[in-house]
Amino acid sequence: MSRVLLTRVVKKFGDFTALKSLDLEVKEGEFLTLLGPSGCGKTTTLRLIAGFLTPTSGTILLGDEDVTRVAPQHREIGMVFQDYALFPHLTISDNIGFGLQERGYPKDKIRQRVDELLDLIQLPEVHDRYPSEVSGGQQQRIAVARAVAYPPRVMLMDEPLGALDLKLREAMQVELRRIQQELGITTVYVTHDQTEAMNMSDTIVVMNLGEIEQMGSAEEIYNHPKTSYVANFVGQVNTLPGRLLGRGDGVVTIGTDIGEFRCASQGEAAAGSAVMIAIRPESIRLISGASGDSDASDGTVNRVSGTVSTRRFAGNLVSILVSMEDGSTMTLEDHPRNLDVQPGEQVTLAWRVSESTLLTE
Amino acid sequence: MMEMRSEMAVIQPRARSGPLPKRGLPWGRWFHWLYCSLSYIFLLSPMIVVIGASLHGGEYYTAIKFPPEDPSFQWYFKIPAAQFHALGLSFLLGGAATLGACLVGIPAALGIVRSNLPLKTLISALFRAPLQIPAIVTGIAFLQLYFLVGDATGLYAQGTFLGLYLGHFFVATPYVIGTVTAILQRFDNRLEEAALSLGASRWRTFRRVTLPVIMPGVYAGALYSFMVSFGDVPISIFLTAPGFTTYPVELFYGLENDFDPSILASASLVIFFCLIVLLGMQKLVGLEALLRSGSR
Repeated sequence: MSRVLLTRVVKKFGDFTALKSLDLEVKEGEFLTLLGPSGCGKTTTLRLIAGFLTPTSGTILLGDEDVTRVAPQHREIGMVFQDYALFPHLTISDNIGFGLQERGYPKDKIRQRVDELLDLIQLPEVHDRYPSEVSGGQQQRIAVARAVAYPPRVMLMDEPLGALDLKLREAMQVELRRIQQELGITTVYVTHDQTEAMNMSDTIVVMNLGEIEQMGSAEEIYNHPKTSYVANFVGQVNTLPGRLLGRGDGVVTIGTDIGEFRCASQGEAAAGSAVMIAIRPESIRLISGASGDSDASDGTVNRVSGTVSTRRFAGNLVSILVSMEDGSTMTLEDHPRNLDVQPGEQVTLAWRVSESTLLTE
Repeated sequence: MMEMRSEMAVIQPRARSGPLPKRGLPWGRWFHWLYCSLSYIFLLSPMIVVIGASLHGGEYYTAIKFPPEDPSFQWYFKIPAAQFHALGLSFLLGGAATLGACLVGIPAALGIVRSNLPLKTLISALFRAPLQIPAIVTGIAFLQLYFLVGDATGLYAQGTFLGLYLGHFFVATPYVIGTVTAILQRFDNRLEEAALSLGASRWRTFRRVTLPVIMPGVYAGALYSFMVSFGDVPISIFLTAPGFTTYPVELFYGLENDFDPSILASASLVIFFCLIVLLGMQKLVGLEALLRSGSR
């Protein structure tokens, strides 16, 4: 059973089309992230589900109920905003209990629920304080508690960690995910931060220019991006443009300016068409000096040689930039002990055919 | 390292002579004190003179005498009853004008800030217009209007509470609109969205979230409106009638026609009263409420 279902949803603002016929399904209890740069339509989608916007056309279902034209106050949603939007004139208890009060629950029930939630977010001692008297991370957790006090049909979060610093953001990712799983609440999360999306989500929806570019688990999105847009947005990637020469059993051969490579492909790109090979920096291994490796001939590994141009040390990782003979560059990332080379050195790069992806656009 | 430096522009740190200068120079602090003291003396001296002169203890005379001779409270017992009647009317009028200003001003401010009507700038300029018309012109305009309406219908509003009220309401409302508009422009609309998402109706959202958050602006506007209404002479002087005057108009006539220190005594009472009210407001809603609504 789907908890949120958007069918052919279009949203126009005047002449500008923010969403072009969006179909999206969020399953019961799922943590789904809308990922994309600003202006891709992710926040518009969230606000449509919340009811702050009405679609130009299409339908929105919560549970089995068509809520396309239902006002936000009747949708039973929980919303968490980037800057928390806690009520500054109410105590933290009153903030968390707001939704229950508005729905006419008795005082002792509300008090009990507020205590329960403050325990859940691990802030038991803040009842009578005001939002301005607690830290940003605490305000964020209070905002989550407020959103779930009356069990929402779906929790909507709009870049809720955007205002926090990196360390706190990482801790809050774990915290938010824990709360979400403990309560089993269907969640739609909006962010432009791919690390955040991958850390937290069951499903990631990569959006671009008002359309869904790709949808899948973090691993699917990362390992098998369908387009160069997705490959570049989620993590770093080396792309080699070329032309498809021939097709074998799940493997294609591509001719590029720096040689012919084999690449895993399930797609239906025709021979002769322009394509791209995507290889993650960590999928490339380094073979110093001239080639002469044992697995050279079995066709499961591609190799190319170049010159190391820069080496950047980042603690647990080293990344090096290698210049190819045509002037293009490729980036490698590995543990420092595996990349013990200096700028100017001749190297051979190797990667498994199965660890490269064919991109058609 | 040294080689690199030789290629760069050389800036030699200047040699320092003597000890580092200390901050908080004494003459600076003296100047600060002097400046503040003079400012306060300038602002408070008229009130001190009024209160002082009201304590005059000698026989009847027609000039303000400061410092008072032979201080006594005798004039406080000689305040004419008409002044108390006028004071009552002024309070009633000020309160009613403030209430009206809030009832019209808050929705007007909401409309000005939130709507996207095509004539928004024109409308907001119109709402501010009463502040740009000299008060005496407003007074004459209202009187003319009342004559016109009176001649047409037989119902003359000058010298009635309604007539006076409309004039005061007219000048009081822009103050509420101004302060509430200012605070609404800083208002985070997401607070309302949060309330709606939590199941509150539009009205409940206004009552429980919007209104409390903009309340400091309402208080400030209400205070201005009341003060403008309470202190007004140029409009009221046209719209009052003998036996039906506001307090400042009554004082004005008193000073012009038959001055004696009882006017000063009555003015002193009002000064003390206002001081108490302001201190009370400060304690009740004052600075703390303003600060709380400003920070999120």
